[in-house]
Amino acid sequence: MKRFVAFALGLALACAAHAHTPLKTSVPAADASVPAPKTIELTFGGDVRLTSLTLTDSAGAVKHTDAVPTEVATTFSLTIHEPLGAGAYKVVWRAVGGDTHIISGEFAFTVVAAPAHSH
Amino acid sequence: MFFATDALVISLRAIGFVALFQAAGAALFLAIYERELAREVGDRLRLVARIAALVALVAAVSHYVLTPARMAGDFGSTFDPALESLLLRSNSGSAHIVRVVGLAILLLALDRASRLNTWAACVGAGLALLSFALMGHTVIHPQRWLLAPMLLVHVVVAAVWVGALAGLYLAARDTGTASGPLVARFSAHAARAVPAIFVCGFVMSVILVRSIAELATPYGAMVLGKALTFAALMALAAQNKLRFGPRLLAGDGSAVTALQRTIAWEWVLIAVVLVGTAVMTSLYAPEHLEGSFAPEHEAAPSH
Repeated sequence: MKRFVAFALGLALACAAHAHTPLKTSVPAADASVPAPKTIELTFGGDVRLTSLTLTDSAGAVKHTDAVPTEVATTFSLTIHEPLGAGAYKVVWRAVGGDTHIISGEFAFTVVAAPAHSH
Repeated sequence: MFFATDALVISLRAIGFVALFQAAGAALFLAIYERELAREVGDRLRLVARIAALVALVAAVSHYVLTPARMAGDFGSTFDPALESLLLRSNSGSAHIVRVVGLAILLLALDRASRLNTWAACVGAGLALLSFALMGHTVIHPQRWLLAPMLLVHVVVAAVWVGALAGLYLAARDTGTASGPLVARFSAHAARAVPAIFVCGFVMSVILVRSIAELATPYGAMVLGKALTFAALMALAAQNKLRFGPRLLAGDGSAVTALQRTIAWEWVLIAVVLVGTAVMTSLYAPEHLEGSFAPEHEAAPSH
């Protein structure tokens, strides 16, 4: 019986670790390589309340963005308050949906150096 | 993304589910069958129910307090006024208040055996179980008028089943084959009531999981898992009713241990279902409800 309970708990944790995310689109898009963005834009499948968003570089340093708004909406646009150098970045977000149902996710993007202009 | 806040808050919810069903179910079982229980069995079951009510109460309050932390994925947001306000104004907030009041009444009423206490315990158990129908995916669904009563019947019958398992286990352990008539009477009642769990669960599943394809989603998989576990539970219950119950009535002492073993397995399977439900409904919603607010929330002006 103990083994059965351990199996069931393991299964529950495995399911928990694979919670999916109803984020429809983001700008920058997941896994995109883009010039340094000025904003992070998230669009969800329905109205949610965004409760946290963290932008970090490849070293784990947090980049300063707008505070998350308190309004319920489908699309959120947060300004990035410091220039992003070339490299990999990760966005971790969390939102509250219907009846405090919590949804979360993360995506990565890469900032590429802007092409040099010839004069 | 799975945070430490998720692990703690969802664990509290799972513990709370099991404890609440145990407490409310044992109180309802006592209300129906106490006259047929030996006095010491009744007192022990009342103690089990009290402990369960206390655990459920602590888990419910802790879950509520820590929910803002889970909303933000950060323990530092536990007392964030904006998130606290969001929780308080939600269906989940008011349902939690009903649950806590119900569990508190239950805890106080299980203090002693009297007619007044029994009635109060039933009220407490009713409120605690009603709270399930006041929050969650059923509340934000357009067909909540049907889902809410279905869920209420589903959880009340399931709770009585959980409570009965503890009562029958203690009766078999403490009174041996003398528990035969009680087991037989409960089995006869259960044969009529337990199908309601399946019927209500099936109707809710048809509404929440709208197509066969959605059974492949995490929410659909949870529904399938619950259906399969229910089938296993019915097999165990049938074994009790058809094999061990008649042997107990015939005075066969060896049936006592066998009955206790299957009762313990039934309890574990139901606990697994409750824990699985608490985990999965914390993380997933039916596909068409994912990321949607209740109609009254949508109507609220934005600031």
